[in-house]
Amino acid sequence: MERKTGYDQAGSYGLPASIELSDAAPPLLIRVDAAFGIIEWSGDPALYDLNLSRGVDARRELAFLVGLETHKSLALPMLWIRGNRPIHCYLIPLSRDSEAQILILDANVTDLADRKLRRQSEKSDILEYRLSQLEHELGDAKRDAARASELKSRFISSMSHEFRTPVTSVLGYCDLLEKQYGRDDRRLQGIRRSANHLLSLVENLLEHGRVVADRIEPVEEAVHLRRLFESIYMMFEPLAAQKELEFTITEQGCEAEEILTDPVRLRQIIVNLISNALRYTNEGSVRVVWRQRNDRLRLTVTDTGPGIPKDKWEHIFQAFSSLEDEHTRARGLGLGLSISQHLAVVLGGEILLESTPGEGSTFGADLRAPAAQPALTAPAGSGQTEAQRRILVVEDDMDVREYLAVVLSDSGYATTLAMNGQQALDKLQGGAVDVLLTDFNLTDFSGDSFMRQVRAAHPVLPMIAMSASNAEADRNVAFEAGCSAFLIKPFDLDTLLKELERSVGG
Amino acid sequence: MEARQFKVCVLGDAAVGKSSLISAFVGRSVENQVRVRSGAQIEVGRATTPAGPCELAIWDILCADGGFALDTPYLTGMHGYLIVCDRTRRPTLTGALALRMRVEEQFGPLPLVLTINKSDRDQDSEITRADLERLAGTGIASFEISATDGSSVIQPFTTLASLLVPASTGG
Repeated sequence: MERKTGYDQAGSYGLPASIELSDAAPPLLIRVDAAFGIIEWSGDPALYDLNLSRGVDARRELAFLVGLETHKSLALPMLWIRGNRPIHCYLIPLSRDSEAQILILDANVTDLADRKLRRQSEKSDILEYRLSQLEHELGDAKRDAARASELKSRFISSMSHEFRTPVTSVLGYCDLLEKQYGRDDRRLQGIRRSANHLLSLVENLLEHGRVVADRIEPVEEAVHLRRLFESIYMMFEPLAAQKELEFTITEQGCEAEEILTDPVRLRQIIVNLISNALRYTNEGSVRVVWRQRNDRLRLTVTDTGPGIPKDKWEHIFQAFSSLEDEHTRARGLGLGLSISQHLAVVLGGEILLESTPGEGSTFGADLRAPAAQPALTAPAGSGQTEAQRRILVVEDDMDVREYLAVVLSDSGYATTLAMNGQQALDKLQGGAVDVLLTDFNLTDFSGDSFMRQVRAAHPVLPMIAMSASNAEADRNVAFEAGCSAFLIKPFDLDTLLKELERSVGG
Repeated sequence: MEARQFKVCVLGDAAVGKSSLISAFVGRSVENQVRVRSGAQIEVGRATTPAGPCELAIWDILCADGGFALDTPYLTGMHGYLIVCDRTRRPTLTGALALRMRVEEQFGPLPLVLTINKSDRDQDSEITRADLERLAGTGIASFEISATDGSSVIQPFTTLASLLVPASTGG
């Protein structure tokens, strides 16, 4: 009778249950040093058509190891190597001296009788013992990590969508009402302040998820620093005025008109630092000073708040920590500084802190900020004399749809609206459109399916996707389907118009 | 002295001829090629550069529909990559450029060579001369090749190898 062994269970290695290791060749386990030099092995290399020698670089025989590092674990299922032999390979770092083990499993389920004979002659208790340890390390950890990662991704994605869509609408209507009543209207200032606060809380929570998942990739583009600081001043000035604080932003020189950086992350760092200072300062001032020189952006935010004792400096950069109990009743998640520190590293810099209890604090950011290349095409100009552009807006949220209709018409676009994908496809068939602006998650189509259908029928139509989810996967799908831009809600009108102009004018 | 080794991934839409290109480069006949539907196939090829010879571990990532996520472990540690598109299907060129953008987002600006396969089917070409001129303007090294008749299949790999081997490195 066939006896099942430790390596008989395909599921133990996180492999598909359809792979029957019980009928495969015995595993091969190779121990290598930090430079992939072979130290020893268990199992028969010949069964895998391999010729191993101690001291030799394993990459000469196992080309799939080229480019890998011994201190990073990696699972490589279904590799077809020499002689079209399928294998599963696991690279398992060992704690001592950057050594690693390479576990090779046979993924070939053919030639069963021959393999059974070979396996019976090659089994050893030592190998089984080592494999049971590996089973524990690889199988459980991989499954747990995959499960946790999937749950977290789903949570981040759904939260992102649920919060961003209504905030887009609130901020958009705020824009419209400010045109009518002016920016000084205190009721509108209150709405904008609360919406911005809600948005920054959500942004920080979402960013925290990405920080923990170690999945922040900067998306660089040209950023006009003076405009950025102007908009940030406009954002915080009402809050400072309400608390009767002196709030200033001072430029100390800017060598480049535009710099190349991730605008979302840069803004988030600055907003977090200023927001913190305003939150913890009850009288006096918050002064922001910045300069861009020698490809660096240096920024300091100095407040006259309670200050931070030196033994707490490290603590406040940890997630979900704040000093509110000791000094103030200010609200916050305690994520801003932790995230800013991570983001500063992503943007090639760091966050600095100087503080004296009773006098105040200065938070500084020193970030990479090289000059951007001058734009190849002229930006959208209000005096443009070209024919009016025709835009089709596809958005299932009525408030956002109507908001876009108003602002795009005001900006000179001939706007057609569709509330779902089918309506949009019908309208595209019926009339000429210069650019398509579409929500990524429609009620009747997935973003991918909708955009691919549009692309098939209209190969050169510029498409811009909008999404309340900032999932990397969605962004990739949109670009693959042929979109030229992917806007995360809520976006400001300038960003939208800039992307539209780039799409239709490029 | 042993030749330096580099990991090179061959990417592109389904059925553009990735596996055929690799087979033509490493000198394996198509008849001996096993048709597999999933996983990754690794071949070893040698290339000679002005700085000396090098060995390329060439990864052919196999998916039934041609699509795969860029966070696949198969791309881990790649030194450079080659994107293949099909001259008779223009969307594969658009797909190639989008793919390049995605790879750069995830891995940074790695050495890249673009190959336009099926140069033997001139009459069916959907990729125009103007497309090729625009492509040349982007600074991406590109080659028109035919994996079927084997024409120009060496140059993409030797060019990529030259980009990988620093000029200062001796043979």
